[in-house]
Amino acid sequence: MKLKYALYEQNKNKLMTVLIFFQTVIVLVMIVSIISAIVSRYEKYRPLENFFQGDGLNMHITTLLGRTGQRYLPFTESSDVEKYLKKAHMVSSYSIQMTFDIDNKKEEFGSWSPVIGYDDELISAYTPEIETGRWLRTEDADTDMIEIVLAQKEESHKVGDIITLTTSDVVKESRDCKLSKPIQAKVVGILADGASPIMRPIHYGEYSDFRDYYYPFHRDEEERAIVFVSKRDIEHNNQIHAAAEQKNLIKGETCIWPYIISGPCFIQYDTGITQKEKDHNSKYLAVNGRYVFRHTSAEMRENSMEYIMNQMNMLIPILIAMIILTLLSIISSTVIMIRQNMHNYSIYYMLGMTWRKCVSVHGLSVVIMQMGIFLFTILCIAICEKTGALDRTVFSLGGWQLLGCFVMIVFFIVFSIVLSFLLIGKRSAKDILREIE
Amino acid sequence: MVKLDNIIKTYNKGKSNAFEALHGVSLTVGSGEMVAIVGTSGAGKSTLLHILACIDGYDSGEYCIDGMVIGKVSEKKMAAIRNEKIGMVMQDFALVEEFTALDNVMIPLDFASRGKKKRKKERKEIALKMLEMVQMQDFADKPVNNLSGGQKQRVAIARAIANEPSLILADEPTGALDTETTREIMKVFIDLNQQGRTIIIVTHDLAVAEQCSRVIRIEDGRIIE
Ligand SMILES: Nc1ncnc2c1ncn2[C@@H]1O[C@H](COP(=O)(O)OP(=O)(O)O)[C@@H](O)[C@H]1O
Ligand SMILES: [Mg+2]
Repeated sequence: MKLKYALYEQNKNKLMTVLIFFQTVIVLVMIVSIISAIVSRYEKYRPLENFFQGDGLNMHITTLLGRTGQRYLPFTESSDVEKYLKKAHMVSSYSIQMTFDIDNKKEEFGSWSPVIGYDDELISAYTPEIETGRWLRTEDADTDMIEIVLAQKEESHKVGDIITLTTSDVVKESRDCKLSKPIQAKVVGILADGASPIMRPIHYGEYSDFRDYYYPFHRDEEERAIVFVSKRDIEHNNQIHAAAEQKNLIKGETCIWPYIISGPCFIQYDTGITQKEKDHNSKYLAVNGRYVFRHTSAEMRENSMEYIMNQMNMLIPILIAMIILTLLSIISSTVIMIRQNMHNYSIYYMLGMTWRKCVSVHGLSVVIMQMGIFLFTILCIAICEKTGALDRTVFSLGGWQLLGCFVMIVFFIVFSIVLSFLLIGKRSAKDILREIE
Repeated sequence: MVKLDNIIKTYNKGKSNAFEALHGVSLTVGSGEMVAIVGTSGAGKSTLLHILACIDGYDSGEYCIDGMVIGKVSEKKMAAIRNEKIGMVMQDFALVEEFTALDNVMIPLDFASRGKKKRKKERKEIALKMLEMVQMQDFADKPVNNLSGGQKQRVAIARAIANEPSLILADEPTGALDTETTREIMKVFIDLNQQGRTIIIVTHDLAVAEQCSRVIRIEDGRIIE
């Protein structure tokens, strides 16, 4: 019943309605863009958030020497490094010496594709955007089929492809470096164009925040494919196959694909660490390692948060100004609308409505309008998103964006209704009705 | 059925421009009566009628409809009384101009309190029947702002009787109409009265007053005969 009267109100005062409509749409679009910016940034920060907790050091390591105390031996395991550090836990990436030119279907998949290995903690911390298949899994590291994820320039490989590895740099006296028995690797996932895996970006150190740990992978800018593996998977397969290839390997080599700690590394200190112990760790790493990037966790946190919130600091004042403008429009339009409608409300009152019911008629018309604006805006953004118009922007429509818009709309509705509550019924119906006489 | 006892009404009470419009009005109107309230302009006729219609309050005295003391019941109950017991016709019709005649007549039916409200189809049928009673059925779907004054007043009367109220109040219902139309409208009121409804008409047209069974004269906020 009220709906009929509420809809009728909707048609009055079109100009104000249009004004509020556009202002509210702008407010909602701004809310979506601010939240999108924060969400998109935070989504990259969150995987590393754990590594930046508490006290610690975060680096891109070029080399870290000192294995078994020897100054010329590069470390191959983060757990080994931990032994030389005090109260420290280390999570590393690895550079793996593995040649993928065997099944060389396409040129780009050449021997010089970098092979990046991760500690389990890094694999589970972050999944880059996958086009097909899946990301590496820590629980698959115990099979004798090596699992790889590819970031490829061309569409050379598909998920499920088996690549036969027949060479190793450590096979002796062979120009082709042939293994006596080929080993198989299976492509389990292909990264999407635009994915950002955790590895050293070309312009590392540019930001001194979490962004320095992501490599922006764009197919048309790449010269080669990148291969991602689980370090534990390689370690496991080394063990299995090195024994079989023993007589085929260069003397002293114990594995088929040697690897070293290299690239993104995170060292987290235990809570009870003293300044002296920290100094010891810093000194050890400074003497034995070479890095291109090194920041304390506190620095990473601060810089990252500053960057995430940066957009807010810029847009919030504009948003607040827009909200105030919208509220002013709501105030003036409510005052005008209610003044226009007051004659009708008085008729309704005379015919048996309470003022409160009149407020609820007006309230319902406000709800219809605001919900209409909400749905309109969301629909427009959703359509833009579907058609790909927003692909190169951070603009997206997730739960937080919807929640933000919804809260705003509810606020506008409540504000309008409270306002109309204050305005309706302040004068007696008869005075209003006789005004026209 | 309607009983006013020593009603005093002061406008702008407590302010410097306070004005006592009714100085202790007492009045009883029995069921089925057709009463005219006459008096010069500014005498307090409308003030009295608005109090009777429960769209305005009073400062002291007592007003009863069917034994119920108005002013001592809740806002909601008052609304229900306006809706069910009283049909009000105003000089300027007080119609929702953009609504059709039918929609206007349906308003009191739409606002009926829970339990008493009828189904939409039934409400429409009743509204049409009411329009028929005032010979306006052919204009049911016309927006009222296209109608003439006499037609509008007929719609207003149809709306006033939609909920079959026992008391019909009219504030100068013919004030804006010509003599011919006035006669027609008065016929409608007389018909309604003959169906047993109590009618109180405020007017300063003596020709109108003459057609009522009782005439009450009010002057300067007092009833004088
Ligand atoms: N809302 C009001 N505020 C102040 N004075 C009013 C108000 N309404 C009516 N009056 C005064 O009360 C007196 C009676 O008014 P009214 O009942 O409208 O007279 P009538 O209908 O007999 O012409 C008039 O003098 C009028 O000026
Ligand atoms: Mg009057």
